[in-house]
Parts: sequence; C-alpha cells; structure tokens
Amino acid sequence: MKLEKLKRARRRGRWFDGIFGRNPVLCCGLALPFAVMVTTSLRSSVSISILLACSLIPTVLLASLVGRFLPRWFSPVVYTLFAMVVVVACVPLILPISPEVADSLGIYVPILSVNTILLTLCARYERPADRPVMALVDAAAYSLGFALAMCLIAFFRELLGAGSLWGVPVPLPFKAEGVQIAFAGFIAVALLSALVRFLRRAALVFSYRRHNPKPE
Amino acid sequence: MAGFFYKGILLQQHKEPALSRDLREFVNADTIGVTMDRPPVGDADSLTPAEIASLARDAHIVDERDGQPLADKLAACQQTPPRLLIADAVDDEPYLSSQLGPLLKNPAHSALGLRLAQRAAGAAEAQFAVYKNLTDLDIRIPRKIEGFSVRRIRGRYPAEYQASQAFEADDDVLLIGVGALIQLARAVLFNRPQTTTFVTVAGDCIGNPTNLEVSLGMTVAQVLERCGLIEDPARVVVGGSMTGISVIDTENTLVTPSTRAVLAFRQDFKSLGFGCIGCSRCVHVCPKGLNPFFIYRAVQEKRYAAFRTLDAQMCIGCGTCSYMCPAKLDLSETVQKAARSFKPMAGSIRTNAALLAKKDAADYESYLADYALHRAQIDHRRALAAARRADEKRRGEAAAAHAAADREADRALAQALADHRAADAQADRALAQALEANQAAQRAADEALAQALRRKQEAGQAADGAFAQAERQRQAAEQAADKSVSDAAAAAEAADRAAERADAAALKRMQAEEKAADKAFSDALKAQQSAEKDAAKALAKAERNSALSDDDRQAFKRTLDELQAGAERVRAEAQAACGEAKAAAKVSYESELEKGVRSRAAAKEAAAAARQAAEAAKLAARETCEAARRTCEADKAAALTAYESAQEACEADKAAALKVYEAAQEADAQARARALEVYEAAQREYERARQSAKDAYEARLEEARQTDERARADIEAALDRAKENARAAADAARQAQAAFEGRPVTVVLGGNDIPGEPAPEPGAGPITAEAVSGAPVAAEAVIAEPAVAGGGSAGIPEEAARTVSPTDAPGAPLEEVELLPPEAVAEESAPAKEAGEPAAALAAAGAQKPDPMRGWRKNDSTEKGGDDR
Amino acid sequence: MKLNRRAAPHIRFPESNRTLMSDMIILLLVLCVLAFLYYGGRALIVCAVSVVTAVVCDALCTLIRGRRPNPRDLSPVVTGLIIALTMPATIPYYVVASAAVFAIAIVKHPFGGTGQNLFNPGAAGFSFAAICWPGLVFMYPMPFDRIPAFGEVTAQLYQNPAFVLKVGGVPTNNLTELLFGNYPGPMGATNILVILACLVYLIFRRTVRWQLPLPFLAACAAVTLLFPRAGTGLQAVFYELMSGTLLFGAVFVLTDPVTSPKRDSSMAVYGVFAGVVAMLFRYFGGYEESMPFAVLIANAFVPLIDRYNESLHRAIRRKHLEARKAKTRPQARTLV
Repeated sequence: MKLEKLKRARRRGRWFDGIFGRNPVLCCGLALPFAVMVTTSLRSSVSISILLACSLIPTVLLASLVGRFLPRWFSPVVYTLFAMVVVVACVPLILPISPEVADSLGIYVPILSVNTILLTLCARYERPADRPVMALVDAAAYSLGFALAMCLIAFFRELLGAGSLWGVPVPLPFKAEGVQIAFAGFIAVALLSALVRFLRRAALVFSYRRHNPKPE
Repeated sequence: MAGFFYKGILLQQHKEPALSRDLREFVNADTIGVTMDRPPVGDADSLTPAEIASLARDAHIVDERDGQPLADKLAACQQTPPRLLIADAVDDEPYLSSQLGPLLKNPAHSALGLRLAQRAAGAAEAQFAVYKNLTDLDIRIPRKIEGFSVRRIRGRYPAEYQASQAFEADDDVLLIGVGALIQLARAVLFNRPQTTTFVTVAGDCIGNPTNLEVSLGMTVAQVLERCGLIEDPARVVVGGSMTGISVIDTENTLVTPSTRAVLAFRQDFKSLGFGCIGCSRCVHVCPKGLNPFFIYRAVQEKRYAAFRTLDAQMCIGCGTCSYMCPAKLDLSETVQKAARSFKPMAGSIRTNAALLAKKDAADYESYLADYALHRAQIDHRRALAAARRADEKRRGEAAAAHAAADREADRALAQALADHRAADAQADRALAQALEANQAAQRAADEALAQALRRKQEAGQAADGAFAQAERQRQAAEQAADKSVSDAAAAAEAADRAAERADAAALKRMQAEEKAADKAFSDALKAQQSAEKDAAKALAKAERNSALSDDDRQAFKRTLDELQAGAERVRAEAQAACGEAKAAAKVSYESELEKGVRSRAAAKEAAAAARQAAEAAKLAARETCEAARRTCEADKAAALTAYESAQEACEADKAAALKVYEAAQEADAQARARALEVYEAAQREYERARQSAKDAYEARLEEARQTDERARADIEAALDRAKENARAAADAARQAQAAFEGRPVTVVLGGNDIPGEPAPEPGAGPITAEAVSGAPVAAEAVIAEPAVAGGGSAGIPEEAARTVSPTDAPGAPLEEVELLPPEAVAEESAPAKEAGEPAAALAAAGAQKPDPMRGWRKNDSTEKGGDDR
Repeated sequence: MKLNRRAAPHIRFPESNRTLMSDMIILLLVLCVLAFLYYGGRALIVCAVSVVTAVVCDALCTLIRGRRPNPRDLSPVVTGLIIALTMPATIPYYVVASAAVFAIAIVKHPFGGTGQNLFNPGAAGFSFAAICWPGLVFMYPMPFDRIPAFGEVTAQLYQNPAFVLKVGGVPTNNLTELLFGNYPGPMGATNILVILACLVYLIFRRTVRWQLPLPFLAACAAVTLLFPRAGTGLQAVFYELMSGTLLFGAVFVLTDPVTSPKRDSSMAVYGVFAGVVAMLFRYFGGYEESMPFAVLIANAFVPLIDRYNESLHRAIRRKHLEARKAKTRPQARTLV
C-alpha cells in the first residue's frame, strides 16, 4: 500500500484541519449548543462566529504562551475569564450587524467563554505540543471552520424554517417552521456531519486510489 | 404429556400416501442374504438378556433415532433397568413415516422386538409411542399391537422433543426406535445382521412416495431412481424435512442406519432479498422460549456479549423459527452456529462437558505455548541482541578499563613529572627567595646606613638652625629695643605738638567766648536802644496823641520810664555778664596752658625710660645667642658618633645575610637531587602499570568471549524448548479438538490415539479426509456403526463392507474404486465435514456416557443443517 | 440434477414479508377507498403523492447507502399510506411530500433502514408535519364537500372532535357519525367501524398479535374512565377512542413489527405505556393529536423493555433447567 502521498497530503493539509478535515462542529462535535440553537438565523450565526473568532485566537495565544506556567487545575479558569473578558469587549464588533443581535443571542454570548473548541485548543497547546505557530493556525482554522459550519446550517434553517435570509424574506413555495426547533438543529448537524464524513472518506479513497490502483 | 407451557407449530404432516402403501424393498442382493456367524436362535423366548444384548451387538443393530448401537443401550441397562421401555414411532416431522410405516406393516416383528428388548433391558413395562396429531391418515393406528399398548403422543411440532423431555423427566424410561426393534426381531428369527434400514421417500418430485427398506450403502441417487422422480427436484433432503440435511451430490451420499427419509422438493426458496423486519414470529414459536430474533441480530452484528442472556446453546435445532420466518431467513442454522461458536460463552451445557473443557484447556495450552513461542522468539531475538550488547559492553568495559589503567599510569607519570617539576620549581623559588632575602637584607642595611646619615645631617641642620634662630632672636630683640626708643621719642614729640595745639585751641576758644560775650552785650544794648526808641516813639505817639488823659500819659510815662529803667538794667547786666564771661574764658585758657606743659614733661620722662629698657634687652639677647651656639656644636658631634655606629651595624647585617643565602643554595641543590630520584622511580612504576593493564585487558577479553558463548547457547536452548513446547501443545490441542468434534486425527508425528470416528457425510462420500494432513485417511466406512474407541471390532461385517469401502485401521490407503479420489473428497469435506450425519457423528470418539438427551437427535455437537453457511 | 444446498428446515411456512406488507396495504387501500368516497379524488392524489414520494425517497436512500433497492419491499408504501391517511384531504401536497421525505430519509434510513429503524417513520412523518404546519394539518374539510384536486383549496375547514375535547367541550357528533366517519377528521382515521374491522381481520389472520393494540386501547380507556374529559364513563371512552387518530394508530402504527418489542409480555407493556403516554399527551400536550408522539416515545423505550424481558425470560429458562436437572440428578441411571 502506497501511503506516502497520502501522508504527505495529510501533512500539508494539517494547516487547514480546522476548516474541513477536522471541522469542529461537523467532525469533532464541538460547540454543539451553538450549532443547534443559534443557527436559526444567519445573523446570529455570523455574530457568534465573529465573537468566537475574536475570543478564540487571543485565548489560545494566551494558553500557548502562559499555559505551561499555570498549575493544571487553574489554567481553565484563567482561559475562561480571559475569554469572557475578550468576548464582552468584542460585543460591540457585532452590533453593526443588527443592534439587538447581542440580546437575541442571549446567554450564548457568555457561554462562548466555556465553549469546547476553546477548551480543546487551549488544552492542546498549553504544554508545548506542536509547533508554537500551530496554535495560532489552529485557532484561526477552527474559527473559520466553525463559521462555515454555522453559516451552512443557518442558511438552510433560516431559508426553510423562516423563509428569509439575513432577515430579508425570500419567497419560497413553502415554509416549514418545524425546522427552527432544536430537534431539527440536531438533525441538521447530524446530516451535515454525515455528509462531511462521506466527503472526507471519498477524498481519502480518491487520493488513495490514485496511487494504489485497484488490482484487477 | 406436555410438561410445561409449550409452544410449537402445527405442521401439516403429509404422511400419506407413503404411510399407507406397502413397505417396499430396495435391497442389495449381495448383502441381503448375509447371516450372522453364530448358531441360529431356536426359541426367541428363551434368550437371556445377555444373549439378546450380544445378539444385538453381533448384528450391528443401530438405533435409528439417535445412531447409537442398540447393544450399547441394552448394555447400559444392565446395571439399572428402566421402568418403561418405549418403542419410538413418533414421526412428528412432515413427510416422515419411516418408523410408523414399518410398525404398522410389521406388527409382529415389532412386537417381538419390543418383547426381546424389554427382556434385555429388564423393563417392567413396554409401549409403542405414536404421534397423535396425524390428521390425514388413510390407515388406522391400532390401540394395541400384540399386547403392547400404543401411546399417542400429543403436541405440536417439535413433539418428539417434548416427548423425550417428558420421558426424561419421568425417569426410568428407555427409548428405542421401532426400526431397531424390527431388526432385532429379524436377527433373532432369521439370524441376520442389520443390513437394511427403513427410509421414507417422499416429496413433490417423487412419483411414488413410499416407505422403503433400503440396504445400507445404497446411494441416494439409486433410491430416488427406485422411487421414480417425476420432476427435477431443486432440493434433495436426507433426514427429516425440518431437521434434515440437503444433499447436492446424490451419487455419493449413502444411506446409513439413521437415514430416516429421502425427500425431493421441487420448490426452492429463491432468495427474495428480504431482511428481518422484526415480526417476532420466531420468538413466539420457539419451543424452548429462546429469542431467535435477538440471537440472529447479535450474530449479524457480532455482539457476542449478548449471548450470555440469550442462551443459544439451549436450542434444540427443531427449525421452527426458520419455518415461520416470513423473510425466509436461516434462523435455526444461525442459532446453531452461534451456539456452537459461542459455547464457552453461553454457559455450561450438558453434553461434551469434559471434552470441551479438555479442548479448551488444550487450546489454551497450545495458545499459551504459541504465545510463549512467539515471546520466546522475540526474547530470543532480544536476548541475542542483548547478549551481543552485553558482549560488546564487556569488551568495551575491558577496553575502557585498559584505557583507564593506561590513563592512570600516564596520569601517575605525569603527576610524578609534575611533582618533580614542582619540586624543582619550589627549590628555585626557595633559592630565589633566599636571594631576595639576601638582597633585601643588604638593602635594609644600606637603608639603615642612609638613614643614619640622614639623621646625622638632620641633627647638624637642626643645630644650625637653632643657632641661626637664636641669632635672629638677638637681632630682633635689638631692633625692638631701638624701635621702642624711637617710639618713645616720637611720642614725646607728639605730646608737644598736641600740647601746642591744645593751647591754640584754648586760645581760640577764649577768643570765641569773648566775642560771644561781646556780642551778647551788644545785643542787649541794641535791645535796650531799640526799646528806648520804641518807648520814645511811643511817647511821642502818646504825646501826639492828645487824646489821652494825663493820667494816662502819666501812666504811660511811668511805664516808659520803667521800660527805660528796665532796659538800663538789662544793659547793665549784660555788661556784667560780658565781663564775667571774658574772665572765665581767660581762666580756662590758663588752665589749658598749664595742662599742656605738664604733658610735655611727662612725655619726656617716658622717652628716657624707654631708652633704658632697650639697652637692657639688647644685652640679654646677646647672651642667649651665645648659649645657643654652644648647644649647636654639641649636637653635631653627637650625630656624627651615631652615624658611625650605624655604619658598623650595617656591615654586620650584610655579612649575615650573605651567609644565609649560601645555606639556602645548598639546600636547594639537595632538594633537586631528591626530586629527580623520585621522578625516575615514578617512571619505572609507570612501565610496570602499563604492562599489568594490558595483561588484565586480555584476560577480560577472553572471559567475555566465553560468557558470550555460554549465553548464546542458553538462548538457543530456550528457543528450542519453546518450540518443542509449542509443537507439543499444538498436537495436544489438535487431538482434543478432534476428540471434541469426533473427527479422526492424523497426527503427523505420532500415531492416532483416537482411531477416528467417521463423520459420514452425505455430501462428501464415505471418506473423511483429514484436513490437517491433506492425505485422506480411510476412516471407517459410513455404513457401519461408528467405531468407538476401544469399542468392538473393526466394526463392519466384511460381507457388507465389500460393497463399499475397506475397513481399516486408519492409515491404510483406499482400495475401492467406487470411492472418490481423495482430492475431490477433500475439497468437499472441508465445508461438509461438519455436515456429518449427526447421529453417527456424535458418538464422539472417546468413551463417554450416553447422554440422556442424545436420544433427541437434534442437539448434537456436529453441525446441523450446516451445509449452507 | 442441479441441486441447491439449503439449510434446514426444508419446508417453510407460506407467509413472507411481502404477504405481511400486502395485508397491511390492502387494508390501508380500503381506507383510501373510503377516503375517496368521502373526499373525492383529492384524497387519492394525496395518498399517491405520499406513497410515490416515500417509495422514491426509499429507493434513493438505499442507493445512497450503497445497496440495491428491493422492489418487493413494500414498507415505504405502508409508510406513505399511513402518513397520508392521517392528514386532512385538503392538505397541500408539499406538506405530505415533506412528511414522507422526513419519515424515510431522516427517521428510517439513518437509523438502519428497513427492518432496523428505531422509530416509526409514519408517526415521525406526521409529527414533523404537525410541528411545522400545525395550521394546515389539523384543519379538516367536511365529508362530501367538493374539494378541487389541484390548486387552491377553498373548502371550509373545521376542527375535528379531538380538538373539541382538547378545548374542553363535548363533541357534538353522534355515535353513528363517529362510527362511520361522517365528520371532519383525518382521511383514514375517521371511519371507526372499518378500522375496527381491520383490527379484527389482522388479529385473526395473525398478521398482528393482539397484545399490541388491545393493551394500548385498554390503557387509553382506563385513563379516560378515571379522568374523563367529556362526559363520564363509557361515553367519555367512546369519544376519546373515536376521536383523532388513536384507533388508526393502534391498528396500523403501533403494530409496526420493526419498532415493536418482540415478546408478548413486552408488547403488552409497550402497549400500555404508549396508551398512557398518548392520553397524557392528549390531556396536557400542545396538540390535540397525540398518538404519533406517544408512539415515538414508546418506540424509544422498546429496546429497554426488550432487554429486561430477555433477562426475565432467561431467568425463567434457568429455573426450568434447574428444576429439570434437580429432577434427574438424584437418579444414578443414565437415560437414553
């Protein structure tokens, strides 16, 4: 089995892991509350993605710089507090989207400071695990992946469930309000997760088969 | 009869028309006329149980319901006779009537057989057992057959199983098939061994379904031909319709004593592609209360942990679940497979417990041995590497030690050299120090001398200085005296002048005062004049003024006169005052003049006194100057003497220092000589040390090589031992496995301890190929009863055997032509060897007690319906 | 002779999956015919849309899973008919189609496909439609009204008796109306008499075991008797059981073999549980229709019920075994 090219491709793809290969929502199952509850409208999901990006990158940076000096039981507290501060400080960034978007997000803004993507990445990078630059790269990639997943789910849920897109009504032949409930959010995440799994597997098989053609 | 709340299905029995037809024969002319090699029995009723049993053994009668030799069953009853002997004619599977038919067609023989068996077993009662739910019979089942009552067994399928359960629960019951009883009767009456068996040939494709008495060893194809196929069957089944085995090679499938039916069906269930829909019909019909749905699903999903609760081993293999399944799944087979494969997981079972344990233990041992071998190989590799490493280490150590010793020696030498050099250096240093000291002492002496000189000079200078000072003082005193004289003179002068000035001043004062007095007087005069004038004026005025009275004028005149008088007085006073003042002034002027004179005289006196004092002072000064000069000279002399003494001391010091220096030089030379000796001794020592190190190194190398060889030998020995163990354990495991499954074993190294119980395979022919060796071992022929280890003779009556196959101790090659070549058999046997005739196969090699439930042929250890995996 | 090798047993019961499903389909078709009688052609078109969507979706999903679709597998037809028959005849087609798609593509295949699904797809499809378009799903036309087959539906729509019960009133339909289905209600669920006949037919034909629908109905009746909503006693029981899709669900939805437990005792427990939950939903739930939700919840408990029942039966088996062993062991003899 010739796996060298595959391995090389995977190594090269390490930088984009967070976007597709290990998409936090669809592949790793992280930050599910947001994916299920916040994706009812595209605005909310975009705001949450922005907030996550703003809070994730500094916190992971902090973790990679300072994490090894903190005792293990204490570092999550530090990250949470820091993330909370950053999140609160960045809320004005999303107000241009809509003045009441922060209110409509409600409790999900503070929950951002304890979301699992943050904790996972901080735990991964607080001891010198990978190259230090990967902390930043991973943080950025994961935020991007999260944003992608959220926007994708929100696109469909808002379109099908509320008949609008970014608050603009879109005339569709029908509208299924049931898509807005949490159950449908779970189903949407599950379906997309399956799709991403399938695509990953197809990509892997395709690239494997290129170098290991099927024996006749 | 049913002991508990049972399930089951009602099956349509399809026993007609086979049951009602006459019992036909399909015999082999060669075998049918065989008689036994013993004197014929005259009177059947006079046989003793032992004789009956031996007769049964000689006749090789096999009970068709479980494949056991009748003789064994009867022999087992010698110790404990059963209370009830049941002749089993319960044919509860559809199409099957191979016990009932002969019973109804040969009642006399059956009854005789039962009587004999009853006597042989010592049973108190004997009955026939027939199924009750036969609804479509054209023939009547009698209530009694020759005195033996016919017991109707109720129940749904699997009724025979239920019956056996019930009978077993009651204890003291022995079940024997009717066919065996008939054969027993024939053996007694006609002295004939069992060469035939009763077979029902039925099914859609059979033109004349019938019960047939078939010679053992006929092929199924012959049987079918005999009965006539009206269509091409899709399936041919040997055995019961619910529990039989489908046959694909009818040319090579033989009829055995426990073949009960040959069925040919036209319809095949083509695969409809249905999957299980969970309708749970299988669950509802399972007679044992199992859950085939879950077992099937667990097998499919490989969730083996569920088998603990699912109890697959309790399956009796009746096939009801598969029968009912609307998706036509092979549930029964899957459950059996699960039961077999997961027997250890499913809890204890009643049959083959000991063999299973042995097999497991042997497997485990073999596995452990394999694992040990594997580990031994790993260890061998590692040990070799470790030995190599250790060897290298030892060599390295030796080399290191050698090098260390060398280094030690070198170091010692270098140390000695360093010491030597240090000693030299030290000596040099000492010498230099001494030199230094010497020079220092010299210098010190010179210093002292110089100092003394300086002191002398200083003393001289000091003395001179003192003298000069004294001179100066004298001169100073003289000057002072002169100065005081001159001062006094000057003072006198000054006093004169002052006095003159004072005189002058007094004069001026006096004049001033006179002037003043005059002035005052004149003033007063003027005043008076003026007053007069005024008065005159006033008088004039008054005179002019005529207005006044005379009194007034008189008054006025009087005042005027008074005024004038007053003014006269004033003027007179003034004049007096003026005169007094002038007098006073003059007096004072006189006094002043006197004062001046006095002071001049005093000054002159002072000047004279001063002159005298000065003279005295000059004199004193000269005297002190003289004294000073004298002391000066005395000091100089003293200094000179001190200087000379110092010079001497200096010389003495220098000499002493020089002596010390020479002593030091000598000591130095000695020290150097000693150091050199020591160094040379160290060099010799060094040589010795190097030599000894080299010797030691070589000795160690030799020793290392020897240990290495020993270690390697040990490692190899360990590996060999492990290999031996593994091989032995694998053999043991193979044997135990074969014993457990009843297969003949070909052990490549040794002989067979189990001559092998043949697993007759309808699908593969009479040969059981040994998969392990690949070389077929001609096992016992199928037609005979299984050769139990240690049991009986070679088992097959020669005459009967001629047709079919050689009887042999295993290992003999095949001889007969009718048999398939081994290779073809081998490839059939692999899948089909488990499809062995269950009954025969189960007399698993190795003596074991007849199992209570073995009468029910459906739960045997060999595969059941297992030809379709 | 080309012989096939098959495993025992070599005779099989003539029933097959297809006959099972066809039984169900025949009965559902009878209900479709009745719906046609009451509501005209649109009812048939709704059923057809549902069935076709379900079948196509099933085939697509099977293809996506990498298997070959089996045209003899009639289960999506059953699902489609069940979904259609619980809807009003005036339902827009996209509602039925989405319900069918949801049922097949999200509830049936991701959980394993035919024979392996955990939740009843028909009930789930209806629940989805009920949550997404409650206004459309719970408003029914009057029977014998003229309803156009396509285009805008202008018929007057009413609530069904279940809604009346929910708001606390007493349905005004008399017994005949209720029995014959001559009132606004779900297309296939109003004709109580026919459904009862179907139940009897299924039970006696052994397609369905009586331990499934009867404990369900008994539990519903018991709860209604104890806490009646409209009237008292038997009258309340009749109103409850004959309103909405309760009876229809008891016969066709609850008896789905895939999602029901596998032993008789488990089935009874399941039925009672589903009945109690259905009545609870009716009393305290948000919608007037409770059967699909109750069935879904009970489906979630089926593996649990089955597992415990298996352990129970194993214990029983062991006890029998021990008893038998105890009987045989004291004897020294060996039986043959």
